[in-house]
Amino acid sequence: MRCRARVFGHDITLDEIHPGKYFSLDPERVVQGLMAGIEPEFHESVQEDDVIVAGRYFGMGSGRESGAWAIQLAGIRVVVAESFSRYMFRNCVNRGIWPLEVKGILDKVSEKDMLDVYLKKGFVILEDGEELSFEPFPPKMKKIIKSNITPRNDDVR
Amino acid sequence: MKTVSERFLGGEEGEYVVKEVDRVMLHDGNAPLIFDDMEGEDIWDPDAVTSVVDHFCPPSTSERANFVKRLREFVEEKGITDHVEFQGICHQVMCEGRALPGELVAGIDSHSTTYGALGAFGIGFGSSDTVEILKKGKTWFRVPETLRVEISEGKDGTDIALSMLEKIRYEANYKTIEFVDKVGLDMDDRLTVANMAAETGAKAAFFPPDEITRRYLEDFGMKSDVEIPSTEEERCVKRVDISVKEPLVAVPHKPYNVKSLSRVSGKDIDQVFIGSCASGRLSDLRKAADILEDEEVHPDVRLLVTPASKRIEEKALKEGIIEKLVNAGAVILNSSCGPCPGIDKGLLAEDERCIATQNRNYPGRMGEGEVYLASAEVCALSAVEGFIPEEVRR
Repeated sequence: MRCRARVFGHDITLDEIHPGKYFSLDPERVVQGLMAGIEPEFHESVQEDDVIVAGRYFGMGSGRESGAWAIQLAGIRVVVAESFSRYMFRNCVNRGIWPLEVKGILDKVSEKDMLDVYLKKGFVILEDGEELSFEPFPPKMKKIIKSNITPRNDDVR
Repeated sequence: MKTVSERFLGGEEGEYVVKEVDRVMLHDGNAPLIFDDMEGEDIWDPDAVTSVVDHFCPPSTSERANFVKRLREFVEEKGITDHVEFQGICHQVMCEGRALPGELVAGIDSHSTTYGALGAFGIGFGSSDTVEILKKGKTWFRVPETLRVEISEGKDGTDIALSMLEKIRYEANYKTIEFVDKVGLDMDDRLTVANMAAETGAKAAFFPPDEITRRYLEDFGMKSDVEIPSTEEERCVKRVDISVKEPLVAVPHKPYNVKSLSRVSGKDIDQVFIGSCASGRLSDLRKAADILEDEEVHPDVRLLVTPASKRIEEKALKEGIIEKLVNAGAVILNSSCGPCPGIDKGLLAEDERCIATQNRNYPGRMGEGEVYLASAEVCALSAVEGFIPEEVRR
């Protein structure tokens, strides 16, 4: 999967990823809130298959799933970060978004770099050709997801 | 010996397991995201579900009024027997005669860690996970590692919590925090500490049930003899010692940006908020009233107070606490989330500064402006002085 990187920093909280005032059941309103706590116009420039790249602890704080929903509505299928909050990780999986933990990614990617993401093989190729690997989902977790305890992410199945 | 997390979830540390839950908490703030997915689906045990209206209570827009209306309809349709409105903030409501020691409780909110104050295991979930839990009564977990927090000195739950956040930051992400309470904290303070443990990313926070727990439960006509011993220290990934000697303040924009009070004193304050699911309990209101008695709120400051539940508000009324607060110039809001997550009744203007007893001060949390976090005493004094005080008079 070839994606354009949209880069954010370390320690981006859910209140920044999706400020509470955008909580709604109207998809248009929800997607307007994506990353609005940092870049209010982000929803205008985001394209399908962009990839969000962030540093440590992406999505700490609130467990509101409207954050992952907004990412899903924007057509983003992969978020690459050095680590995730537990809520962001689970909510992404449940919304069909791959939360990939890639150590050291933030310092090596610039805004709008093109990345090649190999989901099943577990690596990302950066614009300069460097290859960074990540742990694919553990088999036991895949098995649980297949058993329909968590419904949405067909890719993980 | 098993860890506490292994006792609650089964399996072994690090393992992925599927586990049944005992109870589920829904609130109007996140439940709207489950309505469509639950259409035509039955709840595995409607009697195990509590539905709380506290985010939009009362609603400030018609869209929000529709969320609450749909929640009422959902409750009716699915046969949920425990629906409460205008009774309090969800986590406090759950700790007033619902969650019990030894229970695994799934909440549709990140501060569900609060129930750990009672010796329950409260774990928060997003809406998709909650849908599956409602349908099947179970979900998957990774059995977390344990971080041990020993509290050896400290008087106020908020100060202890802030000290914990400063020391742990996000190190407890995906882990269980187990408290060893050497002080014998009041349940009000334990609830604050377990609530704010969510800010470390912890999956659960846990105080082993003891005499203090049992006395607290008796007030609600509940009994529990469950004993859950602490995890042995050798099985914990880390031990953190908390000893609080002076009031603390978290400065913008992270709850772990903690400084001693004397280092932030003198900053002008526009708004003071005593409330949220982290605070606003009887002991917090009492501390504020003791300071505000025979004083006046500074003319440039708005003091907003939210009791954590109606039950607490009634007790505070009987004790004369509310009268003292109102006479000093405080505005008493009904028990709800209100300004803490920037929902309503007290958002900030650009460049305004608020000091609050709440759990979060992330950018944009309360609208514009910036939020400082501190105990009810420091907040009440700030309201009188108009700035963050140098010390707390005792």
